[in-house]
Amino acid sequence: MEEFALKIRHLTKRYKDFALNDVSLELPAGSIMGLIGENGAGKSTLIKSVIGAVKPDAGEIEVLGCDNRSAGFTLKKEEIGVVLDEACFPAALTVRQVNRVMRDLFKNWEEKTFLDYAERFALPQNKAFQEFSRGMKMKLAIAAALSHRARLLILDEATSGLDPIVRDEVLDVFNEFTREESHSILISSHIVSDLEKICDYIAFLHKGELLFCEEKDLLLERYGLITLRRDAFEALDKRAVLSAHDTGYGVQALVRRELLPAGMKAERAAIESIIVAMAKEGKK
Amino acid sequence: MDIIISNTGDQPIYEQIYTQIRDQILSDKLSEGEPLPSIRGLAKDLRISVITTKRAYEELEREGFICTMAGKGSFVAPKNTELIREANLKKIEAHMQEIYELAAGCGMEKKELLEMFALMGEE
Amino acid sequence: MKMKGMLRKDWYIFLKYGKITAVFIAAYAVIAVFSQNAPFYVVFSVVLGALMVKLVMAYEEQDKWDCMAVCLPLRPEQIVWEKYLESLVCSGAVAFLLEVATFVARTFFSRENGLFSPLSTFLMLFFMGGLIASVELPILFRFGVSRGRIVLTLALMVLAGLLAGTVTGLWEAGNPQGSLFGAVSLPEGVLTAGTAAVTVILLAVSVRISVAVYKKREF
Repeated sequence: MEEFALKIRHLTKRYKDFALNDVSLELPAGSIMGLIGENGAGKSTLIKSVIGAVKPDAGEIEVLGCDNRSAGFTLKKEEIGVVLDEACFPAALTVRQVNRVMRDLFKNWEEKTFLDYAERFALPQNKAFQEFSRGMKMKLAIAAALSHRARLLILDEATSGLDPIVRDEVLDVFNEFTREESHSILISSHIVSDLEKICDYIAFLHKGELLFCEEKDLLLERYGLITLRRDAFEALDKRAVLSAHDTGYGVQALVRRELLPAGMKAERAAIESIIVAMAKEGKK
Repeated sequence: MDIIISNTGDQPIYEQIYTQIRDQILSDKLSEGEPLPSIRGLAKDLRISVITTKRAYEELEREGFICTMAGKGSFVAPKNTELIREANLKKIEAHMQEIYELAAGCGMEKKELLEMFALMGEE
Repeated sequence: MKMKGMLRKDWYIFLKYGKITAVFIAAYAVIAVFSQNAPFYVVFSVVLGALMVKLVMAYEEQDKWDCMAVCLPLRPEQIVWEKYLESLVCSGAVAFLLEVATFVARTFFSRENGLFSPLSTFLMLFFMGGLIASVELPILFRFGVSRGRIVLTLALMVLAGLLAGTVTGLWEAGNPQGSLFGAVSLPEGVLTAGTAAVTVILLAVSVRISVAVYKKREF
């Protein structure tokens, strides 16, 4: 087993009005990485570059130890399950037909697994899924991605647009998937809280730049939330403060714990507020 | 084995796992040689990061509470009385610190505290 | 195996959306054999048959399957070849349909339109389909269906005009007794072989272009 499920080095892709700029990150095998960023931050461009649907201007990408421009990458795709935002099977097909098609397209296609997921997700078997809701289409794509013994799942906005109950169900499935030590996931979303629970790593894209790619726990440890009187706040080292909000009765601030005066304790901050603060700041 | 993770409050999750497993070993709820859940399994069951659980286990191993055998998993280590004593001392110290802070908060002096403590022993 | 899977998928799409086009093709085939203006309808049904692939690709594109296909363990060559194969299957089917229609017209209605002599015409029609595919597919693989349709329409109009002109010319020159090839003094076999060779070469070049442009395509 390779050490990293995914390695991206200096990935650059320029469009007329947008550029993904020199992104490097590594996803250790066996872990889940959440790729966070607002709409248009470059998440889809990054993911499409990984699977080869977008050709980067510069940089290298290694997926499951295989350069994604090499001829061998086609074979590697047997081990990669992909769910793309909106892109899916032709909607004329029924679940049964998708099964029959995929049986021929993947060497390791597991019919039973697929049909079990279809049942678990309550997908009608004989209905062309053009009549499916977005959530159902997503579930179909997820079922397919999980049914050919993939070792890496690449999921673009796979949880957005799902109602909370379904989303939880789907996140559970992803969580189960990584019980296997060689299984890894790269999942993107613009909703942080969706991913916060299950991720080991958080990568944050902002306007085409990777602001950080960090262990989730480290982020939580490094940053904290404090509430204190205004004069006490003024006395703080300004470098410690990421963002502050004056409530009128005091100041609530997101801070770097290490720069706080000794003994001052900060509460646990939500990943979301850390990211929002960083996005506003626009730099690390 | 019970592990209850709280997402509020200040205590990091790895520390919560560490403390709870340690306490269960110290209080003999987990006995010597008993296998612990695998790092990955525990993380997935609790729906938390694998790295977090790994860190807790590493901490437990470093402190000598558990031992890990490659390919077999982690087990509760043989009881080390010295270790237990030390762990308890640490706990006592932590409680005392808390008492001290509370006392300072309501203006009690060290002497008064000591008197209180002396009385406690006589009862 | 992979090819089978993709053809199967296209077949499902055809079953859902292609039936009306198929009915039209059949109608044109019937009109062709009974009409005074046979070549026009013949070319029309052959063009329509070749466009079946475009129809399928349009539905695939609508659901962004073209992007999804990149995620599957398929070589770019396989994705390209499959559409060529499908084009040829469609052309073959249309040519076969026209042959059957002619046979029926000749046997049961004693219509003799002089256009059809069994094998060579079948091959001729089949190659016409191949010719259309070799023009159509590189455009579709380069631009996709929605962006490529204007270029494609222009190209097909020119091509269909040329084909219809050629067929009409040959037909009129050879009428009333001769076959399609009556105007040409070469033996039928040589002519058919010649057309076959030209079509095969065109297809081979076209496939290479399609693969090259498809490899550069982004989704």
